[in-house]
Amino acid sequence: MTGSRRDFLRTSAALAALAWPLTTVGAPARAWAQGDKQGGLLRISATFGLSTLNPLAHISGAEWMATRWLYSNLTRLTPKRDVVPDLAESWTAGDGGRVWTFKLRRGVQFHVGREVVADDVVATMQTILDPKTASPYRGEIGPIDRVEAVDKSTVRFTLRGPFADFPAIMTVPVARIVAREGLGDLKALAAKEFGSGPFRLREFVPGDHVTVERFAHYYRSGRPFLDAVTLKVFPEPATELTAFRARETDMIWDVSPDLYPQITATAGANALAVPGGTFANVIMPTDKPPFSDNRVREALKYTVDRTAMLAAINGGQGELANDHPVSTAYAFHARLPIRTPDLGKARSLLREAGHGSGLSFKLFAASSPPIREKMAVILKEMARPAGFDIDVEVLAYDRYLAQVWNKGVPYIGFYATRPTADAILMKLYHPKEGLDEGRWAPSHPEAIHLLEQARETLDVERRRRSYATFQKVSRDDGPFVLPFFRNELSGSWGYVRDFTLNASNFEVDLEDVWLTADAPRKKG
Amino acid sequence: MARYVVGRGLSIALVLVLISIIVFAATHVLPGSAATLILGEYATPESLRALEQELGLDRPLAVQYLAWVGGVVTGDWGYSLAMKQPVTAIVGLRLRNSAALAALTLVAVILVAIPLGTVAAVRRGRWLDLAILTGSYLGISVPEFVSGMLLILVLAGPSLHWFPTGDYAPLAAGLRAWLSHLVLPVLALTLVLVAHVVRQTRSGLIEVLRSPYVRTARLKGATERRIVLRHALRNGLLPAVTVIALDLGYLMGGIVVVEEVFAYPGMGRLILYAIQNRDVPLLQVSILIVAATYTVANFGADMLYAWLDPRIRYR
Repeated sequence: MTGSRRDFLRTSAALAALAWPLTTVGAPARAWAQGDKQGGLLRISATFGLSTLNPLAHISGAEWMATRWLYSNLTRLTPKRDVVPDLAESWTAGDGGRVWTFKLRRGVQFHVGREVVADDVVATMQTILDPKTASPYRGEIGPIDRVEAVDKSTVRFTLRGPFADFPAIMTVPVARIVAREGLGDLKALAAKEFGSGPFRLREFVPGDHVTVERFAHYYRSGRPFLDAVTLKVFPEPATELTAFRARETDMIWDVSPDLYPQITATAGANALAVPGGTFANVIMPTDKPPFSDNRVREALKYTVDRTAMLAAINGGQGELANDHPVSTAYAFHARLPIRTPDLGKARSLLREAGHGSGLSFKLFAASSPPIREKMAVILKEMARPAGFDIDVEVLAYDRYLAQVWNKGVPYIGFYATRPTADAILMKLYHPKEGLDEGRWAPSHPEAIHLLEQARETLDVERRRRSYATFQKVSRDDGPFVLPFFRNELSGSWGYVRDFTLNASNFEVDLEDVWLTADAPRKKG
Repeated sequence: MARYVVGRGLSIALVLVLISIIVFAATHVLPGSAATLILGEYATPESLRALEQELGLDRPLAVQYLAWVGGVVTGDWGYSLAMKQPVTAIVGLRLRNSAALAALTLVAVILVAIPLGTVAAVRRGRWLDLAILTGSYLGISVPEFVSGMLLILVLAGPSLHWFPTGDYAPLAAGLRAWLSHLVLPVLALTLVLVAHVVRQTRSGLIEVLRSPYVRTARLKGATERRIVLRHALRNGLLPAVTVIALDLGYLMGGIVVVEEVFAYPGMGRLILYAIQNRDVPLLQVSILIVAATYTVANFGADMLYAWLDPRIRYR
């Protein structure tokens, strides 16, 4: 039922696209004066997730995007994936990467009207780390042992061990710096903000929309250009697309791959695509048969025609992967030959593993996001000729979370881009710092040790070697079928200028974005 | 009559209490808790435990339920577990939106369906009757996500763009803006609901037109117009009133698809969200509002019966 409804909506949107006259927004080439850039309302759409604005608790991309406008971090991640100053002007590592000292920019104002000081950073971090806060990310902001204010504008983090990527980890959405007075009532943080970001909160209707307005005392003078930004949830992607084409919205944050060609075909619109690190993976629990035998895992990996799968699921928008999570978006990506499909080899591996007459297993997939179900169904068909009989069970996300996720059964996982290779590798493989959903760490202590070594040294070459070895081990022996990374897709009208899509697509930096005079809401 | 009203009031209250118990129990039968959903794929065993404790989900079920009842009795409708805001603040907007959508839709349905049903009954068996029945069947047999999407593509697409594709505007933004957002969803819902009411009006009226008192009126020489409008319609409307009362409940909480297609924040989407997030306080209040609408609308329909047909007396 759901499938046919979605199909209908897609098809009807496609038909309408053909029927519509081409309306062009002329984008004359000219130089723009600073004054021309000032003002206007930018309207962005998303399809889900706007329950809370609490940076300590939010877990969806749309929420991360909104808090990026309201708050500042110590550091920020550029579209080129460089870590640059935000609230912190500079930072230094001591004790081989175990102690990190951040110097704060002076005179930065919170929206509540006082200066950002080291105590705010300390209070924010301590609140995240307090188990009572139950922050989902307690484990994702580095092995912090202690955080202290050295003076008004200096913060020192002492870690449990050396950690090379610490400044990059401070870019993640949970590490937004909240004014101390906002941390007293964490419930209230869901709908109020205590940030120092380029915009301040004007209106928030949870589940529907959030509107933010320019913060006049933002530390980058003259920024932002926009007067206000609205993020609105359109649960139905086909409506979202129509609203965009009718210029009721100016930007679609995350375009589904089947609607993306229609953005490309819309005159005057910019279709944006950037390689990222987002992926879905088949998780094969290696602590029990049949996947405890690497020949079975390898056989399944050999059945996948990665190019065909990427084309079918994401319209070819993405890059092929090698069954490990380090895409080219990360600094430590290792160039290894991509595994090519080989059904003969898959069959003989299965035979060697004692499954000559075929192997059946159940594979679970949550219905959201759609990539999970698609991957499961396509894998079922691709693996069948090699002797795999996969029984795909699709279930609602709430049931998936409660009954399947991280429960040691085969299922389709889904992960967004992280700031560093370390972050995604630890999350996926490490039994303590992450989930080890594949139950792989106990049988591969040397591989896990490689990851620990790599994060603990500041020597870039040594890190590169460790990560390269790990990627090879994971490709050949790892617990995941990870066929491709999807490109992040977005769309905006030509009158939206100077927006760059980040590989971490929720990092929607609007500080330099401006609207030309022909934008529908340039005035008011 | 007064005794009847009090009795109905008490039975409505009892129904609502029973519903709150059922909803509460049913939510706890579903796998996972609000903590599971809030933490999502970032959960760790420690954070789950801490959050369940913070939300009070680690207490025995009866204690949780009684705590909720205690709150409601003292005017505290509770906090949404997932949105961390007072339930009343979240529900208020959706309730206003749903009420506006339901009211306009019902008015549209009544204005369209009762005249059409009347004409069909008077002309039964003729081509006009056939055309009205076929037309209203078309409306009901096309699912609302199809008609909704087609309306959006044609009337809100870039070529015509007579109305906004979706979203809502508060009344404070002006009557025009408020109405313009409601036109398409009201149209989509009217298309679906008209058929029921046309059918009920038509069959109700046909039956009445065959009754002895109408024959008497005809024999007395009353005009056909007077017979239909003055004598028959009042009685013939009884079945339609029941359907309209049920439609009101449906419009207040059962139109998830239309609300999603038109990105309209109403009660239907809110209830779905509350279920998906195991947000019991939010779910309880939302379901009770919808249940109250159903029961009160039915009660209203029964009162209307008595007014339409003076032979009906409630004791």
